[in-house]
Amino acid sequence: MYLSPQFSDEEELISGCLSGNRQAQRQLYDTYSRRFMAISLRYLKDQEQAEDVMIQSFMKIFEKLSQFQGKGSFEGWMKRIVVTQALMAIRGNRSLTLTVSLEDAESMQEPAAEDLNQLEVAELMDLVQSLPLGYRTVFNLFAIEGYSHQEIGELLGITESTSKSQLNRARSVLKNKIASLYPHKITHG
Amino acid sequence: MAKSDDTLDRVFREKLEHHQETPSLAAWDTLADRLDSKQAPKKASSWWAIAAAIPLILGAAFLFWSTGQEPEKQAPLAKAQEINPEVVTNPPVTASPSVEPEKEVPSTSSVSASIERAQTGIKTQQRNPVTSIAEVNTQNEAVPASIPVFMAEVVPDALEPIRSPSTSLAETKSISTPSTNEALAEEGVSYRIRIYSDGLEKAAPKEKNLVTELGKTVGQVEGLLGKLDEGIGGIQEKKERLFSSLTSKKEASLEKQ
Repeated sequence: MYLSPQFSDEEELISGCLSGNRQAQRQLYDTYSRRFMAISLRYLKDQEQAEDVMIQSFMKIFEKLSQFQGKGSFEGWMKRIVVTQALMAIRGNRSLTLTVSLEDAESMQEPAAEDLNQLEVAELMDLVQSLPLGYRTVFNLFAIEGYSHQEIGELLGITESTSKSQLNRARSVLKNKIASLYPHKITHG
Repeated sequence: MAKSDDTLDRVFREKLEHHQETPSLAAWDTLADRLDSKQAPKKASSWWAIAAAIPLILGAAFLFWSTGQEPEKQAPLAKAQEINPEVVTNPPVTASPSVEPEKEVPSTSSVSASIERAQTGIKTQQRNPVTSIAEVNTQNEAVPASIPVFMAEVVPDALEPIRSPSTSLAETKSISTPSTNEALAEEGVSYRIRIYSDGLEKAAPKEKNLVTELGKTVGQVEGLLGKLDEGIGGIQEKKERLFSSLTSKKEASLEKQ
């Protein structure tokens, strides 16, 4: 199934994809599809939707490949496309609802650092996916992708302060959920 | 609090940043299909345009050829018969692209006048059509005996579609002397189909797509050709009906004698 790579370095692979070489396109897909699928799944819980976003992202990557200047990392450039595609899918679904619940802000439980470190990847994925759409989107963008609040504000069409408050609510929810996973070690902070 | 937030973010980032999830096996096929269909249309469209242009050109050529040839095809026949039913097929010149060939006889007055002349000039009596045919034959060796009779009938009938067979038969009997033939011959030879058209009206193309536009035009040309065929078919059918009714009458009159 896994073909031995014909294109030994990234530059070769990119130029292969640029000339529409199917082998090169396949190799790029085989290298990155799982990572992009994981990103997509953090934004869209639905497996089918996430997969469609991943496919759309590859279409966009092949389409815009000639615009990649070689500045910065190729993977980083592609990941931004994946995130953009995911955000577009979210917008297409329904308006991005940025709910703020007082409850989320008030009940603040601080999980211990060692509990956090114990968490499995699958558990973390579940936690992210359990967040309401607005919280999830901002948390993903800020905490995992590393976007600034200004960038998030521009991407989502919200103010920086809205982005900040959404992030704080997201963190509270996550902390509460993690704390409830380890009830014996609850610390009040 | 800020520190715990940072810890939280860091844990999620470090563990999820390089996380991988396996997509379904069908995902690549879907992507490959989309890539194919994205590359394919560009090539296909030009072929489509060429393919669409071929019937258009053929259609236009046929239209040209058929309108140009039709009168010449009919003329020798009329000449041989020396009788001149001037049937003018005159499609209305309309702005609309669909031209319906309507059979009209715009030159009714001139033709009917000529027939009156012929009929009055042919008062020299000839009761027997057979003799007249014989005479015609001496003048026109190539013409089959029955044709003059038939064509004599065509003249009035084409102009005034409804006529009792008996009257027309009586008239045909009278048209038989050499002078008649000459008089008729003077009227000129014409079995013309005229088609007037100012072409297909094409204002600003409604569709920017060249292919769609070509396809539409082809459709219009084909529609026109179809209607032309219908019109010619109708004329020939009438001719045949007249011919059969006349031959049967001729036979009846011969039997009487």
